[in-house]
Amino acid sequence: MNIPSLTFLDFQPVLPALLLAVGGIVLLLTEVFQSAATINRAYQSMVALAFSAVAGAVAAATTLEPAREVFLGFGVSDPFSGAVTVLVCVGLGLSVLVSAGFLRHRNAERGEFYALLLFAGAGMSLLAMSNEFITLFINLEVMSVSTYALSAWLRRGTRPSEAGFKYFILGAFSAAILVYGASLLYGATGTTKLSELAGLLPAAVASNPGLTYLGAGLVAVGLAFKVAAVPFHMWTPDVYEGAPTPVSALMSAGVKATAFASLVRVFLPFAQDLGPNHAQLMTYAFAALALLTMVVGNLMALPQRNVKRMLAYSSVAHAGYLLLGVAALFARPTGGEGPLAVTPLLAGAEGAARQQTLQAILFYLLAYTVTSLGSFGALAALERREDEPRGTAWDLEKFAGLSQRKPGWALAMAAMMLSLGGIPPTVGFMGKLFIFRAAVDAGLVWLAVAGVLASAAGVYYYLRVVVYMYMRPSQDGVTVPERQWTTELALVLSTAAVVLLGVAPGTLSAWLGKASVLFSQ
Amino acid sequence: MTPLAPYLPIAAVLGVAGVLAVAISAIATFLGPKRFDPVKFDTFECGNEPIGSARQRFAVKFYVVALLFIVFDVEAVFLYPWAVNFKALGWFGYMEMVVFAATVVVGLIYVWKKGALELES
Amino acid sequence: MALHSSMLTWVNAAGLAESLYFIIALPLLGAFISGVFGRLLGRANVNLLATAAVAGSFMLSLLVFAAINNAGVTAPNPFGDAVPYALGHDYGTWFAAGGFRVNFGLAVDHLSGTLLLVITGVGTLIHLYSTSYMEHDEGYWRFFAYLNLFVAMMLTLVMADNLVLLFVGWEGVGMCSYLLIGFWYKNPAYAFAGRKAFITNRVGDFGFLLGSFLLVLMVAALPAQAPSQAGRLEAGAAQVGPLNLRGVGALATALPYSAAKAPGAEVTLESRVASGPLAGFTYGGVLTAALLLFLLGAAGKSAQVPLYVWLPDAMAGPTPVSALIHAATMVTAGVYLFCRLSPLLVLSPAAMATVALIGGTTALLAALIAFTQNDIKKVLAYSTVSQLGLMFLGVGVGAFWAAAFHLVTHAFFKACLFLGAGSVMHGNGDETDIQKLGGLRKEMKVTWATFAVATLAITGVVPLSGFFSKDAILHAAHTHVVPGFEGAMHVAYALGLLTALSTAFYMTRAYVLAFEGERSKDAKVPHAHESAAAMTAPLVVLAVLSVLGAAWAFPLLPGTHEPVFENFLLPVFSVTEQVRAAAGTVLVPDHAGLPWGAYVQAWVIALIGAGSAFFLYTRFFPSRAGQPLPAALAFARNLSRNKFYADELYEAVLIRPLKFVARLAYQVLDALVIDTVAVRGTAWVTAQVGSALRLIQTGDVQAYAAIMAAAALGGIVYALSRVMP
Repeated sequence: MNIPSLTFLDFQPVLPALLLAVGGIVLLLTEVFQSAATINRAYQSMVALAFSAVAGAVAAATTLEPAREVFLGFGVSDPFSGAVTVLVCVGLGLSVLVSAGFLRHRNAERGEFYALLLFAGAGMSLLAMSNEFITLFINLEVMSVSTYALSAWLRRGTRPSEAGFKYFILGAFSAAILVYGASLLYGATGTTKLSELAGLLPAAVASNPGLTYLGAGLVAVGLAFKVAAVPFHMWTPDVYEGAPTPVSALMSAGVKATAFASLVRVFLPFAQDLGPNHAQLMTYAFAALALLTMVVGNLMALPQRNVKRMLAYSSVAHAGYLLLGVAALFARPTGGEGPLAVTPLLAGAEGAARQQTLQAILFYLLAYTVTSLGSFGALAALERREDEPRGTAWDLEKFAGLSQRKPGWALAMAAMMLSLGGIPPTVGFMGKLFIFRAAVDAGLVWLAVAGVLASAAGVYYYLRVVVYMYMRPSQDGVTVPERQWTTELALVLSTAAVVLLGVAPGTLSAWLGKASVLFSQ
Repeated sequence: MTPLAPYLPIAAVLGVAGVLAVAISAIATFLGPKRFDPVKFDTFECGNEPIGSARQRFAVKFYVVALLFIVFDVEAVFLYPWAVNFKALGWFGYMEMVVFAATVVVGLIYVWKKGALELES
Repeated sequence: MALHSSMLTWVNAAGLAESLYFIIALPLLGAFISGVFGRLLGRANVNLLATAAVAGSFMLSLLVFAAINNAGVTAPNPFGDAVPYALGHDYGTWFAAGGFRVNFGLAVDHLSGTLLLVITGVGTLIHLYSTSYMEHDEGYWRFFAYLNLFVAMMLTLVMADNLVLLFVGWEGVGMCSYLLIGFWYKNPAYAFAGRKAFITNRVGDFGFLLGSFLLVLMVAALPAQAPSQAGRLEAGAAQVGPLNLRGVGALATALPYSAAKAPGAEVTLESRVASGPLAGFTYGGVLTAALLLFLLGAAGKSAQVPLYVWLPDAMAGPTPVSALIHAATMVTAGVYLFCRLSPLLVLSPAAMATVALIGGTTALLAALIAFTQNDIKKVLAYSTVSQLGLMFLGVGVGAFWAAAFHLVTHAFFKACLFLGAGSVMHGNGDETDIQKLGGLRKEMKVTWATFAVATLAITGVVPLSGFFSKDAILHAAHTHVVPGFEGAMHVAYALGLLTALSTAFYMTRAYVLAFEGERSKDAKVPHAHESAAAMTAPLVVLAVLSVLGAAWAFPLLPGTHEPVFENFLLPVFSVTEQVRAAAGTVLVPDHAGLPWGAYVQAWVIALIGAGSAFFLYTRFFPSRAGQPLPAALAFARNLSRNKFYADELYEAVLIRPLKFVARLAYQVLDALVIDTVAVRGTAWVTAQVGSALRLIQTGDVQAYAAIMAAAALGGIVYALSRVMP
């Protein structure tokens, strides 16, 4: 019998995930072993924060190492996965900070919450490394099941159970689609390993194009659900609205980021010459998704007066910009015909262009992570639990005159809105700049123009929040919850990141440039 | 169809399962006594209303029991093949299994302390 | 220059060239600190810091000035041989697009070196003066931040080695001028004056930019057509960009005046441009157009007809600002620009004649308006416009050194006059009406003495500096011959003489009314008090300089007949001289000693003007107090007092029609087409589509799943239809 031999080198890259899981277990056990009378939960958020921080630091070290296969090719350790894990840990840390204050205000702080956050983080980290369909599916589920439970955390409300239920049912539906797609791909190629897929695809496409593309399409649908791409986004507003605000933040940042990482990894084998009929097919598919997502996401956010739903649609729209980057990643300099006639400006430098596009995607993910956490954080600081049953906790009116009542929060929220809208000098602007430039370089000029137009429409609803905060008088009798230093720390950190990275993105983007290396055969 | 030949036994199992399911339902339908009421017509959803507003709370005790059953059931399923190949897998397999079991045990300790094993509380 | 050749051999010229930016950086840093931390630092610290920043710049300028008096010190020149008596450093590409590039480079030669000393030297004196003048103003930190910023921008303007960086300084000084004119922005009239200055300048800046574009196009078109003539130009432009100031000389050298003057040349000013956007036009025509556009720019900045109207209103700013910006430095930028463009200017006699006539007209018009102004600052403002007109006249007749000379001496005596006026206001409860002053001679001795010296200088009385610099211009206007434009030059010369006469008249009038006679009964305060030493010391220094500046007018150097300053600027204008000699557009007679005849003539004119004013305002008008004026005199006075109705003319001819078109455009284009249809319409449609899309978002999970499934199915079926064989 063939006994697999695993060494320390296999375990070293999964160290961040192991750390997060151990942190989760520690929190679970310390929660139940304290007596109910004397229980003190102040340590929990700090433990979660510490584990996220250490895991992030360990992952950052991974980005400096060469790409290699681990666990017999079931996973890979490459700078890209390291960078995604760092991103996840940044999101986790900020989310923990926001959660602490948010949950204390609602008397709902429990060790399980942080444990679920950390488990979800472990799943995300492993998902970013998964290089085989079954591994990918299991890690996707580890991440998803944790977030299903987290969305329904405030179980005493009516919306949270709705959110959890919808997310779970639709998530299961999409996961089934993904598994079905993977099985069809296995049927077509005889492998579930992505590293072998690239070599087997040309033959499979030649002999059995229907099966191959059906499988690929279904896998794409499954992942598109996770990134909330239109038309697989329908769950997003309902779930984001019902879930506790810090969890919505993590979903819009961490889940989306890792799902994108998977998307890139799974479909990279398709970015090769598969024959004349197949040229640009992947670009075509992702470009269509990107266009739909950008346009519909922004349009649906426009009429929203509920800021939390608006942020949910905004998260959809941002998935569109990221899909634009993915489409650019797969745009091949082989020419094409039709509305997407691709005439790349960087012909002959496919590898370098791809790395640049990947860097743009990573930068955008990081920009969106800090901005999204910051904006949901400001929302969390502001919402009052007594408004939640009536659904008015997130009404635009609650922001009226915030600049007078809470100038610091208003400033943070304004910075976040500018960043989401892509207005300089914020990190959101730099992110959009990189993504649109990558799209233009890849020849997707019209798509980039559509993206710019869509984001111009987006500026309207982002600035509306700023207008309410700075130019509308305060409503009578509206109070804000008491200050929570952890939430404010998260706001300070994310605002600083949004502005500093917007003014001086050089160091970060240089690091991400080095980290934009995917493992490939 | 040569590549699919090895899956013939599975097709057989599928066929038997299908026949069995239809047969049992049919026998129950034909032989069983029939006393209908709305609850009986309802789809079974572990105790909560299948149709109506999603914005309501529901009892989770059935879920908890079902989930715990599945967890330990799967543990048992994993333990079988390992036990069969115990010698061949050696220390590597042993350590893998210890880690797996320890994880499940931690879960057991947690649910026990949490009181999830007491159906009525 | 034997005197200097041994000097400062210990200075490392290369290191000094690289450090040129320190001269700009010091006041820039001062502006930053004063502007950001000024209120925290307190008044005394800001005073010290701002003055020290400019004084430090002055010290560095002295060092640089000493260094460039050494023939061995050269500035690199990618268009040809290294330039002697200059320092320069190229800090690398600033920006580049396609074949066009602009390098960030600074250079100092004898012209910009002199201006460096004027800007930082007079600047330091004015900062010192301001510490006392602004001692009661709450906005002191803002004031010094703007003033320091202005100095930095002005230094950028004169040190820039290309037209783009020069334009940065050009815009920068304009912005500072706007900020300082409207410094007391709570007074709407002052804020309006600031806006007027800014808008008028923008009109001119437009010309500057278009002129630069034409130059770029010419540099781009020339090498393909004349490879042998323009080789150096092409190589240099590829290295440091086409708008480099050395490139201006190279462009002028590469373009012979006519086929007759340069037989065998591939391209002359008479040939047509073969390619590019300018194809079909002659080089000479494009060149003249570019120079006239630059003239528009210079007219805006230097307050020439027709864009002079902003400068008198600019007196709304604090008086030290008027002295520094609106007399000594910024307004002379146009003259400086034309000195830099002089190699091209001498290729276009038409442009030269235009410049000379514009300058002459401005000079006389402004002088005539100054006759009747009663606000002492307004008199000085119109006087500045008039003197700037004289400088343009000098440029227009090809006497660049004389224009630069007058620029420098004018900086001394006009700054002295403005600061003196400030001192008068300071001591008389901010009274600016000279009718309500009088008798200050006894009460403000230092101010009186310095003001009198400066008045004599501007009036043109021997042996003060103003006499020689003004006469150098008039003499050149008289003796230089521009073939084909002799008539225009005669007119310009006549205008210049009349201006000299008028200058003597109105300056004497202002002086007599303010300082001589008895104290007016309408005075705001019964007794004027002399200003503090921080204000009078700069007055004394500037008055002394107004006298000593004359020394540069004499041929003191052994072995040459040229005045010191002309000789000093020879290396700056050497290319201009070569181009002029080759083209034969300006015939300059040889120097034959000092022009004694012209001196006597000028002196007589000055004495007539000053004497008649003295007589009229000390004897004639006081004796006729209460009686109506003779009708002709009253008409003339009215015309002058109302500034020849220039503002009203502009209002009727330009501003009203513009406003009408603007309102029409606003109502039709902006309000209807853009706002209602384009903006609100788009927003409305977008919002409607958004609202319609919401209908899909029912909240029903089954519907969501169905939509997902349908979309997946549709997408995959489409994809399969494309790949299935």
